[in-house]
Amino acid sequence: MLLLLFETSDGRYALDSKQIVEIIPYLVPKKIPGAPDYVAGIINYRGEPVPLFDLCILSGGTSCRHFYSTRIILVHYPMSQEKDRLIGMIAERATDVFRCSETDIRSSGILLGKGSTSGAIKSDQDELVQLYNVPRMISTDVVRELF
Amino acid sequence: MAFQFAKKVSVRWRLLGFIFCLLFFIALSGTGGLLGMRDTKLSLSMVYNSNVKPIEEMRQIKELLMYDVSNSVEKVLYEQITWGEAVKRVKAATLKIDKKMNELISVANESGNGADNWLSKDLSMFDNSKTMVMEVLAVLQENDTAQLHGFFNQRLEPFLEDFDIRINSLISGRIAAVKKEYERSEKRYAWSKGAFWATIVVGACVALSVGFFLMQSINDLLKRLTKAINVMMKGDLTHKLDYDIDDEFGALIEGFNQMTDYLEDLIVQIRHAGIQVTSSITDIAASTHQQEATANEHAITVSEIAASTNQIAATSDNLMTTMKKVNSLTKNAAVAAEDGHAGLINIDETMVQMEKSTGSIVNKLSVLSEKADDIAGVVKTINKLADQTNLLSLNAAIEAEKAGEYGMGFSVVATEIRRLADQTAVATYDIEQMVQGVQSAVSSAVMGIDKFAKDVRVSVENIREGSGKMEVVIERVQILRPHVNTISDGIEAQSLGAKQISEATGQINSAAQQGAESIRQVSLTIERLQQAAQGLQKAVSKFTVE
Repeated sequence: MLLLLFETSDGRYALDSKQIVEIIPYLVPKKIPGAPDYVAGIINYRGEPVPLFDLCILSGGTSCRHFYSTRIILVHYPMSQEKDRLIGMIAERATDVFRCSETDIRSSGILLGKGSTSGAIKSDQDELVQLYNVPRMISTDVVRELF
Repeated sequence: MAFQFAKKVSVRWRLLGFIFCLLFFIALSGTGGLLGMRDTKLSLSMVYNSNVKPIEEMRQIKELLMYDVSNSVEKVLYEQITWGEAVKRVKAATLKIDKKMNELISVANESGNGADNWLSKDLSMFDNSKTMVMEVLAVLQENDTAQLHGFFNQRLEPFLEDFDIRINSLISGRIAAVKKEYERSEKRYAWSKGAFWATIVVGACVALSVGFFLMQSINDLLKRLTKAINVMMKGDLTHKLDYDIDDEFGALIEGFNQMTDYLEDLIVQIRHAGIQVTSSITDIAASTHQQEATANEHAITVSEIAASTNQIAATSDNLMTTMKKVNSLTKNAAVAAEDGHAGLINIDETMVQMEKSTGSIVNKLSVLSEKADDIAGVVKTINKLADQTNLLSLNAAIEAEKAGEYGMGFSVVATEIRRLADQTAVATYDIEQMVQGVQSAVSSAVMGIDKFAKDVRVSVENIREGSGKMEVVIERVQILRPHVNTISDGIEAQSLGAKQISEATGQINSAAQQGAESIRQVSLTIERLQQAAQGLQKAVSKFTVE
């Protein structure tokens, strides 16, 4: 499986490429009044409004810094009863992919109620990378409210 | 009687009378002598004229007859001369005999009484001789030797013998006359001698007696006068002389008495004056002592003044030396200030150049900064491109993954592309780092240069200010120099003046010492004067006055 590596304010994460629709450069989003901090706004992706989530804020830090490597990752957000939603996540250093097998992924053994990640992998640089679990990080309610 | 007479005639007339008396006797004896001499002279001339002269003439006549006439005849007889020659000789002799005979006759006439003289008896003899000569001439003119020979033997020879005898008797008569005259003179001399001695004796007696009376008359008066003077010499001025005759001695004694009176007055005055002089001398001595004290004080004061003046002179000398040093220092200072000024101007110029240089450096740096910015822009673009390439490769990898096994090859390409993009990104990152370093260096350099330029500007300002101050200093120093010179001159003049004062005080000092010395001498003189006054008083006290 192919994993996209990126960083938030609290470390390095990986995301399964199967969920990813496209990676695009950072765009200045349209702000949504009254939305939570981690909702950066809405962008126009090929005629379709897509909500943007700031993963750095979501990780409990400040908003992501605007480097070239700071990009918007468009993913399919799985909805249980409805059609998947397309959302964008702003993450830093989304520049590399990492190929590994499913077996390489070990469970962290800790499951928090609103935990951010699921499982941990070891990258080729002896770096511990956590697998980012989107539905866990971004609640369905929020996504639903946004649409 | 003579004394009484002498008393009545004045001394002058007495003396004159005495002298005339002496002159009378001298004249008397002189006249006697003169008369005697005249007699002697007369008798001598008589002896010569009437005795000696005729003797000589008679002898010459005899010789003429004997030699010229007789000899000529003899020579003719012996044929030694011609007849003519003999005639000539006899004629010449005849003329000479005539002349001599005439002279003889005139002399005889003078001495005797006309024809009644010693020659009158023998005149015929001379006439005979004339006739004889005529006869000789006549015989000679005959030129007959026998006749001449006969004539010579019978006539001439006897005549000549007779003539010779008679001439000799005449000469004897004359010598007897001379003897007679001599006897007469001797008698006269004896008389004259007696008269002379008588005159001498009488004159001497008269002169002695007159002289004695004269001496007596003068001597008496002189004795009285001497006595009076002796009395006066002993100091008694009260004695007066009496004299009733109105002659020179009367005047003398009157003068003497008057002189004594004057002397008496004088002595009295001298006594008073002596007392006054003594008291005055005492006063003068006192004031001289005071003067001496004052002079000594003066001398001390002058010495002090001299000492202080010397000190002033020394101080002035020191001051002068110091002023000379100051002068040279100010000169040096002026030179140094001028040098400093020039240096400051140089620094100013250098600073201005430096300012310009910093400006150009800033320009260069800004150009560099621009270039760095350009590089940064390029790097940004490259970065952007690398980023987009990366993004593209990511998306391509994801799409290849989605394609499953069909996308495997594409996935490899995507990975390669991404690696290239990553390397590019890394390289650009390095470049970016470098550019950032350059930019920060440039900006810090610009800042440094700006600061430097500011410093330079401040320095230039400071230097200009300093230069201005230095100019003021130079001006002050240059103003100061003439003042220093003036002060130096003044001090020199002061030093000179002090030296002159010192010399002058030295002169005053010596003058004061001389003054003190003269005062001492004056006091000595006063002492002597005092002694003299005392001597005077003592001397005056010898005199007895009324």
